[in-house]
Order: sequence, then structure tokens, then C-alpha cells
Amino acid sequence: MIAVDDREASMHEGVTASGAHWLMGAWIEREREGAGAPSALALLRRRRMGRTWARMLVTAGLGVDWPGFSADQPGRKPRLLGDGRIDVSIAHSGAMLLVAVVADGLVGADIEAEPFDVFDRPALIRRMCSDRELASVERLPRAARRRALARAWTIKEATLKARGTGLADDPRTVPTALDRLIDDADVGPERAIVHLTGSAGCAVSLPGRGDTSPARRGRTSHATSGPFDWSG
Amino acid sequence: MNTETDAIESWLVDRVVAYGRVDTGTFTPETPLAELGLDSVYALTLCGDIEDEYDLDVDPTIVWDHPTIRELAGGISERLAAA
Repeated sequence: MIAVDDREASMHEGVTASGAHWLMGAWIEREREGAGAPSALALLRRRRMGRTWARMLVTAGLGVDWPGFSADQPGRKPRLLGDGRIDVSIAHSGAMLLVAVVADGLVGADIEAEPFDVFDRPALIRRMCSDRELASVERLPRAARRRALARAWTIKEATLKARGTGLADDPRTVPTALDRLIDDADVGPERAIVHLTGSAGCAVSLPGRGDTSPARRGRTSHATSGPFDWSG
Repeated sequence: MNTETDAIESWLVDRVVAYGRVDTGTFTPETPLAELGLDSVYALTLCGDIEDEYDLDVDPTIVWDHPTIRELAGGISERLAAA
């Protein structure tokens, strides 16, 4: 168990089937929860906390000395100094923070907190979904559509982070079988970790909801028949 | 800054406030967008809103090239002038 001051009770940690160590929980001070949008200063604290969690995962989870972060590049995920084998991804949404690290390969993490208001915005939907995905969600009730889009977005965003391209790649080109991501009964934030490795291909995990089964894993050079239809 | 850029800047401030990711009054047009809670999903949404408002097709990378509201307003203004 990684100790994280007084937030332990609200934090979750785990290791995906592919070996990605992750930490997820609330970053925001409890007294501020539900108090509206955070200040710009609070968002700076969030950034520092994400990096602190990354350091904890690298040292306590992977058991290696902390190499430090390299200089930031606009629009790119944080990189670590050293030989480049350790990869880190930090995601935040609302009060929630998700951090993942891997000792080998590339990792991307993303989290979207409820109520998923942004996924009502046509300006976003048309820029994140392929025509096929749009057709899958257009007839859904609002709540189910928002959750399905939030889940699809976390997978797309985590994939782009793992690739290291971010939004330089068009999210519409990252396919998801969106019609199979609909789960009306689910609650809580949507989150995804994508781990790209040379040996195991692409592994998608939904931390805290169980990893994807082997059937959902596939080499990045081959499309799979699972719910995550990867092409790259 | 010309009148058009002023108007774009004001519109951008309104968008950031509408997204509700940062407390109103705690930022200025010169605060880096990355410090306004505008993560990727909101950067993409903002691009869609720019497209709708100004009939201008922009890539999300525009927020890296113009990392503050003021700079972004200038960038949009330049693109509009060139269109």
C-alpha cells in the first residue's frame, strides 16, 4: 500500500494485467468538494500532486530510484529523465486524479469525472467520434449517451497519450466499438489505461473495474474482434 | 490589440467560464490555458466552438502555439484576416 497522507481512504491503487501500476483518487481538498470550480492556484496544486503520485508509483510501485521529470513540452505528456524505459501518464478531471506508470513500454491514462456535461456538446462530439461511432450513440437516451461517450473518450485519450502524440492525432481515428461501451448501470468516473508494449501489443484496462480480458487484447498491428477495435 | 481581437478575447473568456473548469475571477487573459483546467477534452471542445463561432477550422494544437487566451485571440484574429 502506498501511503498518501490523509487521502488514503479515498484512494485506490492497483496493477493491470499488463503490468501498469496505477493510483486513483480525489486530489482536491475535501472541504472544497462540491464548492464549484477550483481556482487557478488550486489547479497548479493539482499538477504538483499528480507529479508527486507519479514519483510514489515509480519508487514504491516499480521500486526504482526517482529519475526526475524532463522539461515539459507543450501538449505532450510528462517524460522522465533516464534511459526512457519508464513511462508515466497523469490524468485529472474534476476532483479525480489518475496516474499510471510502466517499467517497459508506453502508457496512457485518462479519467473523466461525472456528470460528463461536456459530452452533451455537439462541438466536441463531432470532433471525437467517427461516423460509425456517431451512429452508435445518436439514438441513446441522454445519460447513457454521455457515459458511453465519456468511456470512449477515455480510451481514445489514453491511446493518444500512450502514443505520445496527444491531440496532434485526430481522436476520430482511434476506433472504439462505442455501441459495446454502453453501461447504463455504471456509476462513478470513467477511466482507462492503455499500455503499449512490443511483446503484448495493446492492453486496455479500466482500473477499478477489472482489466480487460485477454480477448480484448491484441497486437497493435492487427484489429481485434473485441470491444476495443484497435488499428494502431 | 485591435477591436476584433478584443472581441475574440472576450468571447474566449466567456467560453472558459462556460466550461466551468476554473473559478471566475481567478484568472486573466494572460494566464496559461493549461492552468485554467482546459485539458484535452476541453481543448477539443474549444476548437469545435471556434469552428462554430468563426467558421474557422482549427486543430487542437492551436492551444499549444497560442498558450494564453490573449495569444489565442491574436492567433484566431490572424487566421480570420488570412482567410
